[in-house]
Order: sequence, then C-alpha cells, then structure tokens
Amino acid sequence: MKKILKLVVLVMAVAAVGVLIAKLLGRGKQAGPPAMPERTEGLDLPAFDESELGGQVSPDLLSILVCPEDRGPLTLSSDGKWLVNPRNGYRYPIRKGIPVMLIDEGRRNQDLNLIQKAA
Amino acid sequence: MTDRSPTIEDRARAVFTARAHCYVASSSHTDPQVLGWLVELAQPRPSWRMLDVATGAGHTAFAFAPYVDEIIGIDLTPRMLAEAEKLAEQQGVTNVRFVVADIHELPFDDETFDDEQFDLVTCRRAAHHFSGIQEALTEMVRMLKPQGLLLIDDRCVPEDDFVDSVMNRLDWLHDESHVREYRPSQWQAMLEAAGCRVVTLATYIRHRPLTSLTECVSPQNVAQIHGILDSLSPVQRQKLALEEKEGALYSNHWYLLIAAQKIGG
Repeated sequence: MKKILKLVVLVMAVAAVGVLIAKLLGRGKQAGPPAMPERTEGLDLPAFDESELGGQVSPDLLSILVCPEDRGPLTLSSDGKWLVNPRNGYRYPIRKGIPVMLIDEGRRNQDLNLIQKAA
Repeated sequence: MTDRSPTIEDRARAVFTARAHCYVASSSHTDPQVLGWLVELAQPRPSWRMLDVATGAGHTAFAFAPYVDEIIGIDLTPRMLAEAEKLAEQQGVTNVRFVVADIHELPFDDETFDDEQFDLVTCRRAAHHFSGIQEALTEMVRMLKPQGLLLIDDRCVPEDDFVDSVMNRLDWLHDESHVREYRPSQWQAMLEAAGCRVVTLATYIRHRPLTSLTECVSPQNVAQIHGILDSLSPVQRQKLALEEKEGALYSNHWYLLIAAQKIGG
C-alpha cells in the first residue's frame, strides 16, 4: 500500500514539474514583442526610385492616363521612359513598366524645354 | 521633392515601403472568405473594367482577375506594387496593370474616356489611411460608370465611444499612417454625400491575436499598446472581447463591407 502511495506521489510530482515547465515555456513565448517575420530571399529590392526607367506599359493603360495635376493628356517620350505633360513640362517616370503618376514626382522631373506653346 | 512637412500620404508610403513584405502573405489581407464575399457581392461580368484603389500587394485585384476583363490597381507605394507585380507573375495573372497614384489626385479623367470608365471600383483595408476620406470617395465615385458599383472593405468601429477611441488609438500605434476607422453610420453618410446609394452594409468581427497589432511595429509602440490593454477595466476588456487564449491575448477587430451604387445615368 505504501509503495503504491509513494508511486502516486512520485507521478503527481513529475506531472506538477511538467506543468510548471510547460507554463514557463508558454510565458516565455508570450513575453516581449514577437519576432519580426523573416524576409524571404529576393524581397530586398533596391529602392523603387532607383529601379530602372522604362519597361513595357500596356497601350490601353497609356491611353487613359492623364496628368494628375491638370488632368490633361500626356505623351510618351521617344525612349519610352517618361510620360510627359507638354503644357507644364512635368515628366512622370515609368519604372519597370509601372507609371509613377504622383504630382511630386512629375514636378521633381520637370523639364521646361519640353513645354510646347499652344498654336 | 518640394519643401513641405510630411503628409499622411508620405507617412503611409514610408510605413508600407518598410512593411511591403509583411503584406505579401498577411493573413488579414489575403483572407479568402472576405475576398470571396467581395466577389459574391459584386457579381462581376466578363466585360467589366475594374479599378482597385490602394491595391497594395494586389490581393483583391487577383481575386477578381478571373472574372473581369481588365483591372487597374493603383497604390501610393511603389514598393507594394513591385511586390504585386511579382505575385501577378507567380500566379499567372495577366489582366491586371499597376500604376503608382494617389487616390486624392487620380491620373484618370472621366471626360476623356467616356466608354472606359469603370464598372467596379474596389478599395480594401485602406480607407482608414486616407487623409481626405470624403474627397477620396468622391474620386472613386467619379471613376465609376453611372450605376457602377463601389465595394469597400475596411476596418470600422462600432457605434460606441469607448471602443471607437481605444481602437483608433491602438491602430494608430500599430501604424502611424492610420487616420481613422469610421462607424457604419459615418460610412453611410459619406457614401451618400459622394453620390452613391448604399446597397449593402454589413459588419463583421474577427477575434484576432494581439500580434496582429504588434507585428512589424516599433518596440516603443508595442509597449504603449500593452500599456493601454493593461489599464483597461473589466467592463472595457469585455467591450473589446479581450481574453487570453492558448497563451496569447485576443481581442475583437471590427470590419465592414459595403456595396454602393453610383446614382445617375
């Protein structure tokens, strides 16, 4: 009988230690901010601003894009790298085939020589 | 760049440039159930042209791509679109085009392409970042054909002052380009003011782990988030359905799904 009692106490003690360890581990996981997800290889792109100018843009898309500032039509530069507003010289870059149609961007790349006087 | 202090849009661009990789596989942004609801609500047709505003990594656009003719996805953050382009290639999607653009200054003119206005405009999990929500909604409606459909899916807050203020504070700490999560009644009024008839407005709740607020967030802001949650009374905790589950803290996040039709035509 005593042996059985000892065995039961031993089993209970082992279980208690197990629960304690599990709790501590659980708490360890919960504490502090979670780890940042690891970045997948290849996602560390260079800044988009530095990515190559040009790339294929669908003609359908080009036909509906207007200058976000004056909502007037744009022309594609002969090298296919810019969408140009001939009224104010704003140039919107095309990077990797994605037109960057932000007013700040057009203004920053403004070329006054490209302004065409109205006939 | 012009000399000016950073705008909400600058902040959003900075946040989403840094976190672009988090949104590629974000469980919240790729939630197939919600994407399925959107497609079901829209009942898209093969001839449709769609504009996806704040397309991010393109998840919404890709969900609609098999059902419509063409999609233009716009986003303020070039890095997000670079991720979207990669995903499009991986998924073999060929009818989505991406443009870097600001919803407040769209590079499309409704008068120059009469037949080419959009049948559907979608905007998912983004409106709470817009600095001028009414102006942005008006722009989205401007892009629609008469009777065209505007679909919004966004975080929202219930009509409760405490939940409204605490959720907006927590979400600002999660992302400092957060502007505001609106109440359903505010959405209804804003869409009507933009020239729409609200066809469906449904709210839904996700019981989400705290990590959804703290992922990709600075340690200082994570500490503040914990500070706010620790200070809540039992009643306040109940309002947020804040509870510990499987060793992690969970709370409610409120969302809303709206289908609105452009009036006129």
